[in-house]
Amino acid sequence: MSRNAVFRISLLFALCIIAWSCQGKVAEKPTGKLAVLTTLFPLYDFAKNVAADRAEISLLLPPGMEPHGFEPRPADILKLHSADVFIYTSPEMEPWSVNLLRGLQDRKIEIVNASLGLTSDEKRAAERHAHSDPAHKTDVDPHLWLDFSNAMRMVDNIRDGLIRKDPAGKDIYDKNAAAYNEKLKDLDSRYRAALTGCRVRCIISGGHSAFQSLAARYGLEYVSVYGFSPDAEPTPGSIARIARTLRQKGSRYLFYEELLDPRVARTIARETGVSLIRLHGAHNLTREEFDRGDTFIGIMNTNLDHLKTGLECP
Amino acid sequence: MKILEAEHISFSYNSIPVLEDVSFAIEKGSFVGLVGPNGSGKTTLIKVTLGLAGPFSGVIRLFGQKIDNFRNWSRIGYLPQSLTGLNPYFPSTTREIVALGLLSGKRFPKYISRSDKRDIDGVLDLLGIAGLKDTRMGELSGGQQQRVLIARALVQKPELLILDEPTAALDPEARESFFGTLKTLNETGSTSIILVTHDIGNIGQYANHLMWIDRKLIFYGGFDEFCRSDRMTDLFGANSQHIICHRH
Amino acid sequence: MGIVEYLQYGFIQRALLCGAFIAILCATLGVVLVLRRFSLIGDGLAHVTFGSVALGLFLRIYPLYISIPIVMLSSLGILKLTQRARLYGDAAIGIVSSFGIAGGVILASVAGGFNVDLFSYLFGNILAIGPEELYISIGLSMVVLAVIFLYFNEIFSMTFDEEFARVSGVGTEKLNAVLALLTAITVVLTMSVVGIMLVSALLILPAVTALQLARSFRGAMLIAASVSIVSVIGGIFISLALNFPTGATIVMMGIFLFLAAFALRTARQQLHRNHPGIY
Repeated sequence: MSRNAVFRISLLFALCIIAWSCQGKVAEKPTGKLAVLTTLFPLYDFAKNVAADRAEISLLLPPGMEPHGFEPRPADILKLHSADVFIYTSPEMEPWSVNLLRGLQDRKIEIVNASLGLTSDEKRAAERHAHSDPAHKTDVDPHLWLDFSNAMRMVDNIRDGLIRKDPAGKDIYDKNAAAYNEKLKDLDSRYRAALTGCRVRCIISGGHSAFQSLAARYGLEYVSVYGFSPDAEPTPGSIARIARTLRQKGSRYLFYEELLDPRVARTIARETGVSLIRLHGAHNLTREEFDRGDTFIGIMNTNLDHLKTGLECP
Repeated sequence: MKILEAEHISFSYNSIPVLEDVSFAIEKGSFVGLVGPNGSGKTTLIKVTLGLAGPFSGVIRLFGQKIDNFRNWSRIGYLPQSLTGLNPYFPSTTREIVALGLLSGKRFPKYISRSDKRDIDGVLDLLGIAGLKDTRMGELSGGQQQRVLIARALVQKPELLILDEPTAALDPEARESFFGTLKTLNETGSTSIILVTHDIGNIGQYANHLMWIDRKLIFYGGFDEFCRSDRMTDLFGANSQHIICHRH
Repeated sequence: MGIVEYLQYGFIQRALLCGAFIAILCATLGVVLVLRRFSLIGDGLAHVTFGSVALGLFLRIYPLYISIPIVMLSSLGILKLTQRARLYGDAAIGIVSSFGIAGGVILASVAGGFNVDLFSYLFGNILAIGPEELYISIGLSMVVLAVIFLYFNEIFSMTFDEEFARVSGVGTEKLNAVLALLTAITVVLTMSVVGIMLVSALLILPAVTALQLARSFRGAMLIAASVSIVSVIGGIFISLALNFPTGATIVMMGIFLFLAAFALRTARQQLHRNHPGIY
């Protein structure tokens, strides 16, 4: 084939590709409604409850994906640019959000850091609890939403952010936020009631540390194989320690987490003869759970049942 | 007995013809010097003969058998052209490399026996490298490596020896000694030899046949024939003919 | 916690036993791969596995059933690329590897999400080996080692000089294909048992360590296997003593052994230079 022909065919090919990709779906802005983009599932669910019909809420993380491994795709950047409100948990929980925000030049978008206000008392309290457990030396537990008092504050932050962007909806947001927080408060008291008098006073996890703050809130101990980062590899000591703890506490159940393959938990269970029960951290949902329409409170209710079984509460 | 027959061999690479309608028949006991200018297709012809290059048109017969069906590789000893493809850090001793030459005569699983070791030592002696038998290939000089590979080709006492530029890395003394060994093998051991070489000055002293390839077969026949032929004088000029023939 | 106490745990015992077998398996295969410039095939095929698992989850077929055939095909593909496209192994691996991972990312995106996190699904951990995985690893090791043992000289000949091997009657096409397929199966299965970091390291490090010291091909294989076992067993024990992540400790041990071999070789060379008479 002559060089000229090769060149012309390449050019034609390139033009076709450009033309075809131009036809791609442009992100459609729903008329009237606020476009809210959230990073993790709890924020998504909170926002849905607070904003109700006034907004179209979307979740950045695709179902089934573990948040720490997430990398935004071009469509995600587009979604961000056409959003009115962007809600994230904290820079510690979603480090990639910091990068996303840096590329944002649109000042009209309302950015909500859901962990605002949790820097003073609550976070320091979490820090203190973190220091008491040798496995978690320095960091603050970034899984803030698993302490329901924090969750309530996050709902408030989301409410305030929505009001700032859409003052006309203030009454609705106030009402919905208050109603949802009532539910959270109810959840909190049900947890407190159910988790007193359990035979096993320690939540033993065969996965990552996520329930540190939740355990602390109800006066329970908490141990896990790994720290916060899912990139960490387990050490023989950490695995043996969990096995020992199970024996010491006489526990017949080991908790494992959502989404990640519970390889290590299974190993420990096999070693000690205990059964595995899931404790869902609500970072994100599986495809099935998402299609089913599972909610944060629903997940926490299931968690409570599992905790009652696993900790052998009356 | 004809040990190698070529019938109308043609071969092209990237639509450039490399060999055109080459036909010849080599009798047992021949010592053929295969000569021709650079890029004339000598190495390609060797590769085609051994089933290393294709597809080609025409028929090749080794020991009377078409090469597609040929299985008696132990009757053939081969020295490939260059050592450049060789990894200098390849971990193996001279003995191990030469032992590889015995594989063709073995049935599965192919292991080296004690008698094999004696054969190996024998051929190393023949080529004057017995002292290097446990030395790593990478530590040998170019000339020594060449001799190891020649040993590899010779170790199973093949009936047909095909050598592609075997003396390129050897000094004149080693070259003479090597050619002498070949001549002895050919005359007393009745080993047939095809030797590709650039050294047209010396080949006449050892070989008994000359094959000249330049894409086509220009000449194949005995040395005397070549030297007496007026046609060859016309083709190459009296000077070249003299260089080849004066030694014979 | 004392080492003796640790040894009572099943998961530690399996780590030692399974680790030893996988060590020998990867070391011997690794020598052949490294000599043929296919050192990074472990990583490359891991990326393809990623793509194939995504495909499996997408089609709702048990991923391992899809992974093994696809990775085997990719391994053959890499082989073909080196033969036809005038590439060396490293470039061919790069091509197939990129294809695998990009394919996986696109599939994951198109699927709109799965029920399990892909990466955590794929990569095992030496501290989390179950009895079935132990049996599979031992079985696999025996099969591959048997093939290498039975075809030892043919593989040797082919790796040293493929042309000559062919003229010796070695079925190089078939043998190359068999090696490619065995490599594929080895990578997929051992990766699911001990994770890709360990597989890749065990394929490369013992082999290059052996190449520093070996004076013969047989010696290279033996040194590689020994170094590999020492890395694994030694690495496990050190990780017990210091409570370090075991996989990473094993890799570090491997690197340490390589550096030691390198130092030894350099020392030998110096000795030679200063005292030419000494062997």
